[in-house]
Amino acid sequence: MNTLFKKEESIIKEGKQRLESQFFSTPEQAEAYRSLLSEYEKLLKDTIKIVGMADKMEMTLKTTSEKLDFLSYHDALTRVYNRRYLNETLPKEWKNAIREKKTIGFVILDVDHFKAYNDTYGHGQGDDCLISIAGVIQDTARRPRDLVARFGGDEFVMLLPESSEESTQHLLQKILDHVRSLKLEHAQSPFKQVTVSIGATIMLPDQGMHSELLMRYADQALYEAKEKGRNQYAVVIPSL
Amino acid sequence: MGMELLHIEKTESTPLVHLDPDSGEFLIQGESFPENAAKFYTPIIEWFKSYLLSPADHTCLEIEILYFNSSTSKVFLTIFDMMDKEVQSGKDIRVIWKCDPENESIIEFGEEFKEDLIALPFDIMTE
Repeated sequence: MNTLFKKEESIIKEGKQRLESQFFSTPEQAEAYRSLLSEYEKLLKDTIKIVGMADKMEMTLKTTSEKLDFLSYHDALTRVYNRRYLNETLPKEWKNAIREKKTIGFVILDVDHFKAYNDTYGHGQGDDCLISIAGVIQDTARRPRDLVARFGGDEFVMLLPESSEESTQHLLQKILDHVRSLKLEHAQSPFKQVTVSIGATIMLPDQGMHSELLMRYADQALYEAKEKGRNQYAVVIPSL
Repeated sequence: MGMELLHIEKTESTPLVHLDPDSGEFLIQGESFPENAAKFYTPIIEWFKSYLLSPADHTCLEIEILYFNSSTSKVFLTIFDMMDKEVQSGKDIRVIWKCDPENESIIEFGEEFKEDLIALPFDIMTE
């Protein structure tokens, strides 16, 4: 029996001992006691069962709630963080950078000619492509506070607290190389394979500046990368 | 028999309960986590007690429950126990525990309820 119910079990044991030790003066008394005891034993068994089932039910609910928690902050397709998580984290990291007088990097990345890819290979394969790209980005973001999120469609972003220009460029080059080495065929692209364009910025934010600037400069950099022919990165460092 | 049909519509926290004394076909369906389980289930248990004094020729209780709390499991155990005793004295009563094949915990709970029954036929149906 369940060891959590030691007290109850010892009561049953004691009751049985009484029955054996001629504790009762008449057989009727003993019989009434026996039936009461067996009723108690049955109810205890029920209680143990109920507790066990409740435990299992709670466990199921907990697992479900953990899954929901995960889904509320992650992109269901690519498993990287979603926009909501980015929106919550970005202002915190921004404030932190101001307070600590540290740099903060921001990256926007999109898949070159993704619409044509989807049209040619279908949405299923389009999804697989996004999953692969997300995997590459996630693998390069190694530091604990680096954040990778899917911004929407084929657009991903990275938030890189305390990054130098050099380390960021190194990281961006790595992403370009790894995406190329995936060798995902893309007939509609001039490169004949899936590539990405990346725009990045690194800022040393000051009081009174808004975190939206990160997005604006990274966007500007992404535009430059595309203008120069895609399949490359560009970095905008604002002179302030 | 003089028993009246008991019908309770389902709510967000209580199941549909349909107990027809003439046909002996009973149904409990939905989710069960009433705020006050004793208040909700006492009339139902009382109904069962009266019914079992002179049940229909065949009684079938179908339970299709998606989620239930501990108090509800206590109620189920009470009802199954009453039925089990009646079957031992020769009555024709059975329980169908219906569950979604994907819902492993509900299947498992059906097995737990079944485990200690002496005579009451208890079928776990997944479909």
